[in-house]
Amino acid sequence: MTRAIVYRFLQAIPIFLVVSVLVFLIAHAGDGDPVTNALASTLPQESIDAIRKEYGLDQPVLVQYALWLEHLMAGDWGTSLVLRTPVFEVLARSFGNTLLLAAAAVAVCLAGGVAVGVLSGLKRGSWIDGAAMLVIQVGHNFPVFWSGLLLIWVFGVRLQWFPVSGMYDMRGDQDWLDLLHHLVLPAIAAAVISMLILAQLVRAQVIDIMGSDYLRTFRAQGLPRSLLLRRHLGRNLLSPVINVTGLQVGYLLSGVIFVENVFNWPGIGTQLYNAAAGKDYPMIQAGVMLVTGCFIAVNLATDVALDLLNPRLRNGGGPA
Amino acid sequence: MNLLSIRNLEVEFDGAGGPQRVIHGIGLDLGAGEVLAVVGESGSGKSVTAAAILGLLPERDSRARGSVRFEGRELLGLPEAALNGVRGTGIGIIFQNSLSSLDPSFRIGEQMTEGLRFRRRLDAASARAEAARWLDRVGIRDVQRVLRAYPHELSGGMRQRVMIAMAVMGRPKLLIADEPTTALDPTIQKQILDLLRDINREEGTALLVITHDFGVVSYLSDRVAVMRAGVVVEQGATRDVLAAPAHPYTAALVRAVPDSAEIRRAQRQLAAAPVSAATPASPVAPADARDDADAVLVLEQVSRSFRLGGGFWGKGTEVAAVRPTDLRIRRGEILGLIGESGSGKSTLARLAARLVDPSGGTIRAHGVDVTRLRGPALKAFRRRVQFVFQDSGASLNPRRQIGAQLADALTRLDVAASARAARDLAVQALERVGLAAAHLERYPHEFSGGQRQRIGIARALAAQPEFVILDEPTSALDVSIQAQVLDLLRELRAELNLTFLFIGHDLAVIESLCDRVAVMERGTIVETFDAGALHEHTRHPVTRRLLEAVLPLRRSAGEDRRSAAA
Amino acid sequence: MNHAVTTTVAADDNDNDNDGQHAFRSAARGRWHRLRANRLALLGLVVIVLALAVSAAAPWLAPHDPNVAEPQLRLAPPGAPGYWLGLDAQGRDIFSRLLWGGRRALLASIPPVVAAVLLSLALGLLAGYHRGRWPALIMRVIDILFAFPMVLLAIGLATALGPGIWAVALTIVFSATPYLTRVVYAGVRAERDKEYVEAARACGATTADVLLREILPNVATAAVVYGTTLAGGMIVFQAGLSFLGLGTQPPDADWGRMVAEGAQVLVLGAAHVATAPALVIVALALAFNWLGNGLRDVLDPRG
Repeated sequence: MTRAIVYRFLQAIPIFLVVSVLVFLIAHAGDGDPVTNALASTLPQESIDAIRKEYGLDQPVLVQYALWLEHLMAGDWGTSLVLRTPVFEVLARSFGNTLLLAAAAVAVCLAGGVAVGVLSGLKRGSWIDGAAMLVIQVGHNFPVFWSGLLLIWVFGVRLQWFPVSGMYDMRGDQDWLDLLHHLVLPAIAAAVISMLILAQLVRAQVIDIMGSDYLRTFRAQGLPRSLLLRRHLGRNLLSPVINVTGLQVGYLLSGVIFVENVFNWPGIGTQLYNAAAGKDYPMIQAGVMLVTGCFIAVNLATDVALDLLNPRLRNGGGPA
Repeated sequence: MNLLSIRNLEVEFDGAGGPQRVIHGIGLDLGAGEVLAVVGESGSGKSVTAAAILGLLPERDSRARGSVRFEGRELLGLPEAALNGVRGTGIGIIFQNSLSSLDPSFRIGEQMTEGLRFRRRLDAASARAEAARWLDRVGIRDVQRVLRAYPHELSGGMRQRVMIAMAVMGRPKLLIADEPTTALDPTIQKQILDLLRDINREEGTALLVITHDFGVVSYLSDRVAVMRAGVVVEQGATRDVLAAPAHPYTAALVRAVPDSAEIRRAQRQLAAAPVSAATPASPVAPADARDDADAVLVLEQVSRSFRLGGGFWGKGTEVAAVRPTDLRIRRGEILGLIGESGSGKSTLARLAARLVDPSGGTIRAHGVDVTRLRGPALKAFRRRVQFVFQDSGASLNPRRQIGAQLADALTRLDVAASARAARDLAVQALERVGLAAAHLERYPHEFSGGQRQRIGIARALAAQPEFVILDEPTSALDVSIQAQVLDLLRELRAELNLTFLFIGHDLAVIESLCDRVAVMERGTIVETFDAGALHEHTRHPVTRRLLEAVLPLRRSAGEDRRSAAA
Repeated sequence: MNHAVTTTVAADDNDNDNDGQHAFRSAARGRWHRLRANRLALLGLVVIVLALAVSAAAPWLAPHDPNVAEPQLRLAPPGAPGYWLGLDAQGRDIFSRLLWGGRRALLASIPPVVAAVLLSLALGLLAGYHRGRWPALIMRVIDILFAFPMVLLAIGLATALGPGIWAVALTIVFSATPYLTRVVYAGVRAERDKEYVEAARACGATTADVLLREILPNVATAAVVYGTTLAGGMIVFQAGLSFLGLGTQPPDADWGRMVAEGAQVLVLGAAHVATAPALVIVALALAFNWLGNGLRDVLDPRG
């Protein structure tokens, strides 16, 4: 079992490296180099050359990559070409905001997805199930940004229940209650599609489990439904739910980036998008690596959790 | 008053084409402490009946009508809460597939104590102690290990014992056993049946045994009900029904069971005689130069190992499926290869057919070394030696028409020069096994299991081989279909001068079909003998175990006495 | 004895049709019937065909030039004379922009998905069939890619290649391929160890023969069904990328871009600007979804 976990850690490393290479290459894919491209129109050639030397861009690519990676690991993420401030400062703050929103989205996704899925699966064939399936079918195809806009329109503009922009009220207390208030709509918008996907899966699993042979065994012993649901349905749902939620993390992160745009949430998505527009390579590279690293970490955690839950790995053996 | 009384039971399922009646008004009676067997082929409705008794039919899409009385009380239509009062304590049930019938996420101990803790409000320790007692009662030795284990860590036989323990823990008056031994090896099967009989005698629990195996019926039951297509065609005392079946269907089924005097004689004689340590059975008769040219295939010290596990980083472990072993197959014979699961017989069959390369040893066909053949020479070999697979469902590509599959086999082997020629040969092969040219355009799922097996045989025959290896070709078939396929094989051997290697696990089937028998255990052939010599006391202990596990049909008490005198 | 065998089998045989060719044609006709029976799938097919036709004919169908603005009429609601769906914030005809935007949306999403289906079939077949470490490693990489937030990739590509149709198309290929490859891989793994594959190899089939003639028919259906459904999802995704500004650049018409522009005037009460393109996106995505579901039923020979 520990061996399996260690293997997982080991496997994560090459992935990280591969992504770093890709990111680096993409940044240097265009003609010329990042600095020249970004600043060619604004500065005289000598200044550009000086800056290039400063950034080490006159060295061969492999050396540049090695240097960059080394700095990245050490925490020195370079200086933004556009903002002239250390990338680390800028990203750390916005990434924190993104994580907050992402965590809220995961919570909504889990709660909503499991609730809808279980209800719909247990009441299969009834109107509840039919309605849920319809909502899932249609909502699945709603673009995230559209869901966000709808929510803004209905709950923000018309009903005025929730704020529609930013993290805090500029003039208010800026306490956690205010934060929560601002968090609701964006979290729901980001979570909707993943929630529906999870609900669909949970429903299928519930139907599977309720029709399974082992449930029949315990039913045949005269055990009441509530016990069956609590024990057997509950535990057997755990793995698939974690599995799918883990897989949805990427999708959720994508959704969060869209939502940041729609709701003006000061997260890393907006940051990266601006950086892309301004061709701010150090920012983009560091930003993408940050998100990737975080994402790989979440994947790892999910895999490890699944391994821990897997009875086939627990006692470490096959049939006697 | 009967313990269980079923009258006019009807069950309907909602399918794609509307409601379909599956059980058409059946009646069954079972007295306290009695053993009733319900026997039928697949699709007869016997399992549905068992589920209907306890209200375990799928909640939607199904309806049951009629009367099911248990201890005088009507069960059909009872609300779930009331039914729960009967389930487990009044009527217990065990199912066929023990792996899927246990929750894979809980340990055995946790699953066993669930019922106890709920019903009798026992605390964890007492419940566990009671569970341990029952595991011991059903013959499990390492009780603590089993309690801590997960279902997938136990063997099939042990899991079935656990299921039985779980079912009788509530001390039910009636135990329903739905195909309790179908997935098990013959020796384990006998042990489980003995356990059930034991429980019946000592606890007084009545048994309702659902099965397709007449051997089980004969071994265990007092009375039997024969079902076909949702109807009970005959019911009565087991001995009487088996001896003189009133209904033609029953008669046909009983006739189809491979049952021979030789087996019974062998069982009687070997039960009496001890294993003679003085004459160690030699696996294969000593080699003969004359034999070699006559032998269709000779395997000498062939072995095969597999590497399991591993992955990207590790190397995994090596498992020897076949240890160095010898086998000689003579021209024109039907040689049976028997062994329990894990004995390596399937691997050996594949080695003989060169579907798998041997790790060591040599294989010779008519004196020519074919061990490391490749390319055109291998194809020539394949044209002469063909293979029929066990699972006809999986051995035919579900998405291609069978005509295309047969034709492809021919073109790949370079037997047919053109598509036209391939088609003609395919039609010829189909007709030989009793099918028709019209079947060429059909897909596998449009055929029954027996027909698919015939198609598999046709595919092997199409290349006009001289030697056909069949891997458990009838294990998944109903007994009447099995009889037809065995008859077909006998015909083919006679008409086409074929040699067969028949792999199986049922000694009765092998004995009825084959000229010689080879017995395998743990990767080696432990002995070979003529089928008629089954009763000789030089037989190997493994052979004896297999023999003991055969359940003959006892047709009447008189018959037993008569053959004992012979 | 032969006699007994034939009689038993004849009892099972209820086929009166002796001509094989008729059988094939009626199999195809049967599929069409089943597709027709699934009304949602049919509706989806109709919508898709309509969208394709209308987009292709945009130059002739559009009543106005999509990029020409009538500033006096800006934000006019639907129903304005000559402007079915109204005008946007800059006074351009929404209906015409929808038609022209359709070309980009469909061009940017469908060919990449088709490419992804082909690529995933190749990858999935090869990785699923061969044993050893490399297939496992490749699938591990694919697994990671599968769950990777694709927007990041889009941003990266847009930075390198400049925003536009190539960045979007490549992103879609990168998004779709891992998902489809996983589906194909799982299918191939399930089939690889089955006996019919062994039987084919036993007859001397080469690896290519086995992959293409035996295994492919069993996994192609799943790839096509999932690919169809995925196409719908990619239309949405592509719109999202445009919404963020990574796709088509202004002033060219593009549905995602239109929604973004409409978002800015949402608070002013002009909901129609964003709604029209959004509804079209959802409708087309749903259509692909329904078609995919219908195809699943139809292509399974156990129908």
